[in-house]
Amino acid sequence: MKNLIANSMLAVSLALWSLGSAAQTKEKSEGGNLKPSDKERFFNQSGYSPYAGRNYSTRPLWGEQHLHTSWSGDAIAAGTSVGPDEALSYAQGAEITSSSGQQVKLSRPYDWMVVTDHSDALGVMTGVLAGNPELMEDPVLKKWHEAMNAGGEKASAVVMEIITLQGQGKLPSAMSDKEVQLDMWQKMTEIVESHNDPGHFSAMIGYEWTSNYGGGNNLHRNVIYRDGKALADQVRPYTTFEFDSDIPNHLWDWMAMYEEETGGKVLAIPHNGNLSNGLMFATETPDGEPIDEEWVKQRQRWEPLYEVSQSKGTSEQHPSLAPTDEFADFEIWDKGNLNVVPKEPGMIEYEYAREALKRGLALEDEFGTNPFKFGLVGSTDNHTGISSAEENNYFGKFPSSEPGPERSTGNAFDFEGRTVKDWKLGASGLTAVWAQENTRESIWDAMKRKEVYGTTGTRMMVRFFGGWDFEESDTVGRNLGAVGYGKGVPMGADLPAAPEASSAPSFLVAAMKDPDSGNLDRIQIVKGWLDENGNTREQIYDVVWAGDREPGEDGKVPMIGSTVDVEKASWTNSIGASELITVWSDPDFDASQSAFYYARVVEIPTPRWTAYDAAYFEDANFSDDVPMTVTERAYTSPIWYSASN
Amino acid sequence: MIIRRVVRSPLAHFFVLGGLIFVLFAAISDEPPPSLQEDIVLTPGEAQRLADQFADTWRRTPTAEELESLMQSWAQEEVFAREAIALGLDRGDAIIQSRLSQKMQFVAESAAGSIEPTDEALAAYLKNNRDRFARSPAFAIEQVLLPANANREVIDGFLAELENGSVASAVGEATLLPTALPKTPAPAIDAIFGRGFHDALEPLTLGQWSGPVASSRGRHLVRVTDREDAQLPPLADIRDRVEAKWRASRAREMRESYGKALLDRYDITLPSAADVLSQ
Repeated sequence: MKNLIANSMLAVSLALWSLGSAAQTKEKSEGGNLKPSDKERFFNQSGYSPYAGRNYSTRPLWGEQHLHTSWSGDAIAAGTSVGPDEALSYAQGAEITSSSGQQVKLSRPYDWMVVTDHSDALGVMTGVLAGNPELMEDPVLKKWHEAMNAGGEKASAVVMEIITLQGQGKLPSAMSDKEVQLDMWQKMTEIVESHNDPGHFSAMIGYEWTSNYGGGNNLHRNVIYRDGKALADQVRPYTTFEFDSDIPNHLWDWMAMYEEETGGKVLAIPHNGNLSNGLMFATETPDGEPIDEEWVKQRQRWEPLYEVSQSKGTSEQHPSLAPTDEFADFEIWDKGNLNVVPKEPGMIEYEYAREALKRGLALEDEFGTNPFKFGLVGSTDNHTGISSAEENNYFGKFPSSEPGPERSTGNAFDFEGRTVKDWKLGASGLTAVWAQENTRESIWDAMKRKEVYGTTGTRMMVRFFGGWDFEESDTVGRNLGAVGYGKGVPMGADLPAAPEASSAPSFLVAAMKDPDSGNLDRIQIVKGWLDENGNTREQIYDVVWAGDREPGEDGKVPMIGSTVDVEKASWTNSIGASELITVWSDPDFDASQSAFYYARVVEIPTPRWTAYDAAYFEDANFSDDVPMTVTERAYTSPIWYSASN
Repeated sequence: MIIRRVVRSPLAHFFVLGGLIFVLFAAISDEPPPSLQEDIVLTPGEAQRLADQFADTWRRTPTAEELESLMQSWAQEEVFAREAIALGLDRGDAIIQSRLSQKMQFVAESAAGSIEPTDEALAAYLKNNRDRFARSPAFAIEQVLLPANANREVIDGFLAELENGSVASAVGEATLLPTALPKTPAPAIDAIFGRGFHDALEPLTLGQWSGPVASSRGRHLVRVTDREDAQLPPLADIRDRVEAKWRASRAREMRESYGKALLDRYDITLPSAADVLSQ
């Protein structure tokens, strides 16, 4: 509702502004200076000054909200040596050394990042040393302090002495003061704080709450803070130990307490429903309680986003649930849960985002609130301290899957012989945020209102607006933001109530290729709705595509083909389009049925990381069933239509 | 029981270790090992620490019932841990080994937290690490995308139109690329137009339509409407960031020199790699 108000305020202010300029034009033309044709010329433009009246962004901010470093217990155990400080430097474009000793650098820096180490490992270390100027009143400490400032051998001799005395319990008493304990969480927030550079790079505070309920059933959530260190330090992150819990609604209690106590703001992003063995979007809590009105409200409030693309597979839709979706069979991990405990029938229906978005409509009918009203994002979940989502620059999930011939045959997971191969890992994904400025607050606010989209690692630009009166001519103007916000609502929002005369909602959707990646094949709109019998349905529309392909009788545009030369790990952009834009109106709209719409933008096939490996490593030995091409894609957050509106 | 606990724990995907413990334990027995008959005492002070941790998470003191349960959990974990250590399960454990090593590194580093750098030290650090703190150049531009087949004549026609005051959005190809960008840092410009585009903007005259300039999307006519050269901000503006980086580099030095000093404390005998590999 707040989004709606904000958006309509924006629309109103744009409308007022154009009224103002129209009036001015009229005045001038009465003076005889401006011809009606001139007026015409200015009509579809945002005014001469390209910056005046502009309060929307021209490009999305790229980043990721899911990276583990050596501070995560499982990462350091696997040999990760890259810590949060280096991980954040790398995100800003610095070249660093990976855990396996290889130099690595991003093709292009990120605009923001959240390091999310497991809260379970971020424990308090008691009795170690930390800085405190007050300690300097002690003469011994003062002497040490000076030696440390001198640097070099003098400094290291002091460190040696301190640690030795600590071991013997002979430290000056001031140093064993309880106040001087080093808390890992506060050290983490300090590092993150030191990388935050508003306007240039937003280093956001976060952690992963790692619930593997019942043994490997992935219910993980990333908790993302809007706040800086001052607030985040006031409360210890929630874990799954002892009085903390592995039940998500207990995490929401903690989040509510955090906001109430500190005045700060947090949100949670779940991921890997595909490895939850039926629990991620279940209609009962993991411990068997049926969900109720309170639960659906809490879920919608705290979890506005869901991660659909990452290194451990896609969670958008499973091919068995959408047999006519020819792009659904994409980087699927459906062998079991995180411990590779096999799935049973009936689990997959509760693991994938599209099913949940549909079920959410039905639950809204039942409870009055849609618990699964979330936008879509992508991130890597790498445990290497290196966020890598590029096919030709893929640094794996663990140090053992960093570049090398070994990863052509190695196992990413091995539980008593139940394995998942390294080659199943995906070089994915990223999140684009339509934030007004590059600050923590602006990015977090855009996340909260779901004005974000996820990709499989490519950085294509995608715009998606819904309204009641978009028309074909809206695609020729060059100021898509002005038209989109002026006449409709952006991705993540709710359609306003239909004006009487309208028969169907219309959508302005556009995409521009990533300069470094493949051309665009097509834009699809995925619609889910609740039919007259209360059953959930879905339909995918090809709405705009490259070239002169004719849709078949089933309405589907034929596949675009491929230019990939696997042996050379190369492709050409001789097929596909660099930009696609259209206005699409739902031909099957029924105002009495609630629905959601999201855009999926598909690239032409390009070489998968496995193809780059096969070309680079002479000793790589991929089996024949390893995919060597990939169709990168973007998934936007949905726009919802409510029949009860 | 131990296996089950490990597998059920949030550390379960420590697949590296899983197999190892399994093998070790299977070699021992299915029966719980004989009790070591030790007393386990949680002092009131230590119990207070459990209560404090709870309070740090929930911002309230635990109820008596909650603290009771926390203490029971503590005791259970303690006996498991002791028995595990008695069995030698901590030895050869990659997680425990690397965690201890990491903690020791934190200890070595932590002294860096107590150093207060002087302004001179920070200024010198800033000077020696220009690249890490320099702001990239920024440009405000307007641009027109040329048709793919535009020849000189067509281009000159567009240039003339633009110089005569036509707005950029009325000239050239329709595109989703922004016709005008407010002052934007070079990396963000390259993110839109492809790598190297901002380099091509460097020599252009401010306020004048120029080109063609090549991007990843084609050729453009460009007018730079505002620019800002790369610059190193004064220390006062970025003192916090410089101090944090300075401290991090100091911490790294301490960690490394401490590691070396520790190595010197021991007589370390390592076999020749060649011998090992030839066996």
